[in-house]
Amino acid sequence: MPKSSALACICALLAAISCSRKDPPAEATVVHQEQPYAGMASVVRTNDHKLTGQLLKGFHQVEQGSWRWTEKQFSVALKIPATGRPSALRLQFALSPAVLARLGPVSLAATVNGVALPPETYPQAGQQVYRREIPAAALTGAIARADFQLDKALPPGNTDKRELAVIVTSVGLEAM
Amino acid sequence: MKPQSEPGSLLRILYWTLPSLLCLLVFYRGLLCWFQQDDFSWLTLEVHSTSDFWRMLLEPRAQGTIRPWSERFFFIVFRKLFGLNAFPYRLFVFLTQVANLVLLTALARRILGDRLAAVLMAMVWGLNIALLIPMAWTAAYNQILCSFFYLSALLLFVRHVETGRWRYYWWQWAVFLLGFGALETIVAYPLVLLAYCLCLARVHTWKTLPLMVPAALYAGLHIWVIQRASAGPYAFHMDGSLFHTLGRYWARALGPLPLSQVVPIGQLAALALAIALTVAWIAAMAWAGPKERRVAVFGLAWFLVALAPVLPLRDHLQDYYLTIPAIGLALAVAAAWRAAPRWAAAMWLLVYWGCSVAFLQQGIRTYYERSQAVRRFLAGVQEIRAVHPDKTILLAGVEDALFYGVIHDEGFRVAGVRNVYLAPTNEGITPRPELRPVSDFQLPARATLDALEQGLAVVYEASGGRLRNITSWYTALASALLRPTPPRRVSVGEPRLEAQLGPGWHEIQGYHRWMGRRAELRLAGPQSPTDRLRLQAIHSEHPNAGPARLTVSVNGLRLGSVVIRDHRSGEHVFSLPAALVGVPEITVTFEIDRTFRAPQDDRDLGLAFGVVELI
Repeated sequence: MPKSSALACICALLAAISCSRKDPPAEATVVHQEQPYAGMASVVRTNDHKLTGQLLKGFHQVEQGSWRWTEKQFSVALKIPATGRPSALRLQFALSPAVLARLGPVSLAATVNGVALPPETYPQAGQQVYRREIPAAALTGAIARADFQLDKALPPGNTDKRELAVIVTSVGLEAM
Repeated sequence: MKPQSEPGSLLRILYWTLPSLLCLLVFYRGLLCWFQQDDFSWLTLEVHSTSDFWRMLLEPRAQGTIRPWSERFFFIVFRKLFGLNAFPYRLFVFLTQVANLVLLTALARRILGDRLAAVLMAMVWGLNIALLIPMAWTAAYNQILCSFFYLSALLLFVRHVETGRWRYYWWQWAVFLLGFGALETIVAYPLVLLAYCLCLARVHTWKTLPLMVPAALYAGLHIWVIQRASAGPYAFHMDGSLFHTLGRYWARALGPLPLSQVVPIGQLAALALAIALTVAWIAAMAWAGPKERRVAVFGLAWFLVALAPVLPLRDHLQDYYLTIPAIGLALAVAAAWRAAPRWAAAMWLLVYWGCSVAFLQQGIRTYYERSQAVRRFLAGVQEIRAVHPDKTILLAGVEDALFYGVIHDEGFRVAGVRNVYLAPTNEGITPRPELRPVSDFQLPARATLDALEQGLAVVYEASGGRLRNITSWYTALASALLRPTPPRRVSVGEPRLEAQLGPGWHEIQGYHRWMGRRAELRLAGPQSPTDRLRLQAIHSEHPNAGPARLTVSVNGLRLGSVVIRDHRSGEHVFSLPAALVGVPEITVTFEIDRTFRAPQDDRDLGLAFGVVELI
C-alpha cells in the first residue's frame, strides 16, 4: 500500500474513533436541598464545613480535619451574641516554628466592623490566643465582620504556592 | 552522513514508534484532560460572517499574538465538529506530537548518522519537562504545532542539502511561512538554519539569507505595530537579566529544578544536580570528535536562538517556552552520547529521565485532576440552571483554581449558562494584576440584596468539590454584611443590573444592549480625583451603521465626545470633574449623532454597549 494511502487510512480511523467516542457525562455533586437553617454561629471552628461560608477571606483548605492555614490577611463573619453583655473577639491559633524561624516575631491586629482593636506581638511558636474586648459601638446589628492582619507571612514558594501566616483552629465572639 | 543499514520491518516499526509509545505512557492522562483556563477564551469564538471569520483568524489577541492555525482555526473548527468533547482536541494534539517525534528521529538520523543516538534524541526531547503543559492543556497546542513546522522545515532543508533537489528547498520555504500561523517564535527558524549551515553544511549558508527577509519583516511588524506592555509579566527587559533568565531556563530544561517542586530534595541540591549534568556534558564534549562537537554547537545554538524571543520576558518564565529550544538541547545530548563512554552516557540519561519523568507524571496528574474538577464544576452549574431556570445563580466560596480555571475565561458562557455571578462576599480569590479583577465577576451588593429579597437568586457554595445550596443562610449573611451601595461597574448586557439603567435602552441582545439616540445609566460616584470613566461601545458592521459621534455627560456635565468608526475604536476613558468626588451616585448620559435601522427591525439603533465602569 502506498505510504499516502496508509496515512489516509490511519487518519480516517482516528477521526472515526474521535467522532464515535462519546464524552462521558461529568458527575457533578450538587446538593439542592438546603440544610435545616441553623443560622450563623458566634464561634466558628475552622474545620466545621457547615460554617465554611462564614470564613470570608484568606483561609486555606482544612488540614488533618482540624485546622486551616491563613494568609497574611483573613476575615470572618460572626453572629453577635444576644447576651447584652460586652463581647470579646477571640482567635485561637498556632504559630509554626518554621514561620517564626524565617520571619521572627509576628504581630497580629484586628478590626471588627471597621473598628480597630489593639495589636499583639507573638515572639514564640506554639498555641496562641488573641483576645480583645470590642467596643459596644462596633457591635450593632446581627452579624459582625472581623478582619485580621499580620505584619508578615511566608510568601508563596516552589513547594507550597500558598501564602502562609498562622494556623487557626477557631475564631469567635464571646461574652466577657 | 548517511544512516546505517536498516533492520527488519518489525524492529523498524518499533524503532519509529518507540518515542511515541513512551510519550503515550508518560502523558496518557493528557489525552483525557478536559478544558481549562484559556481554552474557554478560544471556545467562545463564534463566527457569524465571512468578515468575522477573517477578523478572528488574523486580529492580534492576547499580548498581540496572531496564531491562526494553532489557536483560532483549531478551536473554531473543532468546536464546530466536536462541541465540548475534549477528546478529539487532545487526540489531535497527540497526533501532532507523534508526527513531531517521527520527524525528529528522521532529522536526527540524518544529522548524527547514528540510529540509536537519533531515537535517544527523540526520547530526550519527548520526555523533556517543557512538554508537560503542551501535552496537558489544549491552549498550549501552539508549541506542539510550531515544533512541527520547525522540524518539517529543517528536515526538508536537510533533504535539499543531501539530494541537491530544489523542490525540497521551496517546500521548506512554504512550511516556514506557514509556521508564522502557529507561533511567533518561528521567526527564529532562519537563525537555527543558519547555525545548521555554519556547523554542518557551510557551502549552503547563503541559502538561509533569503529566509531572513520574512523573519525580519515579521519581527519589525511585531515590534512596531503591536503595543508592548511597559510593566507586568509581559514587559520586555533588555538588560543583564537576559543572562540570568537564560541560566534559569537551562537549569530547568535539564530537569532537577522542576523535580524539586514535586520531590523534597531542596533547591540547592537540585541546582547542584543540574550543574553536575552540565559539567558531565561539557566533559563528554572534551572527548568528542570534531563532528560531534559541531553537532553539539548546532544544538546549543538552536537552544539559544529558539529561546531568544522570550528571554526578555524576565518576569514570565514558563516551562512550555522551552518546548522548541529543548529540541536543540536534545541534539546536544545526542552528540554527547556518541562521544562519551556508554556507561557514563547511560548514567546521564538515567538521571535526566528520572528527574523529568517524575516531574511530568506528577504534573500531568495535577493537570488532569484540575481539568476534571473544572468539568464537574461546570456540569454542576448547568444542573443548577436546569433546576432554577429563571434565577440568578450566585456562587460563594469559589477559590483560585475554579475561578482562574473556569470563570475568568468565560467558562459559563462556553457552557451556555448565563446569569451566574460570584457572590459579592466571595473575597477569597488571590488577585492577579495582569488579569481582569475578581470584582468584574461579582454581582454588586445592591443587585445581590435586591435579588435575594425578591427571591430571584439562589446561592450555592462551591467547596470540597461540591455545590451546596445555602440561599437562606446567605440571605441572612448578606443582609447583615452588605450595604446597598451603587456599583462601580455596570455590564449593560447583564439582566440583573437592569435596575442601574435609565431610559433609552433596548432589550438585551447576546451579551450587550443597544441604545437609541440617547440613553442613561447610574453608577457609584467617584471616590477619588483619579477615578475615571471607562466605556466599551461595540461598533456595528451593518452597512447602514457607519461612524457615530458619541457624546458622554455625567450629571449634566459634558465629559467629551468621541467618534466610533470600527471595532478598534469602541473603548474610551474619560476623566471626571473633581466636583463629582464623593457624590454617592452619578448618572451617565450617552448621546449619539445618528441612528440607523436594520432590515426587519423597527428599532432606532444608536450604539451597542458592553461595560461602563469607574477605573
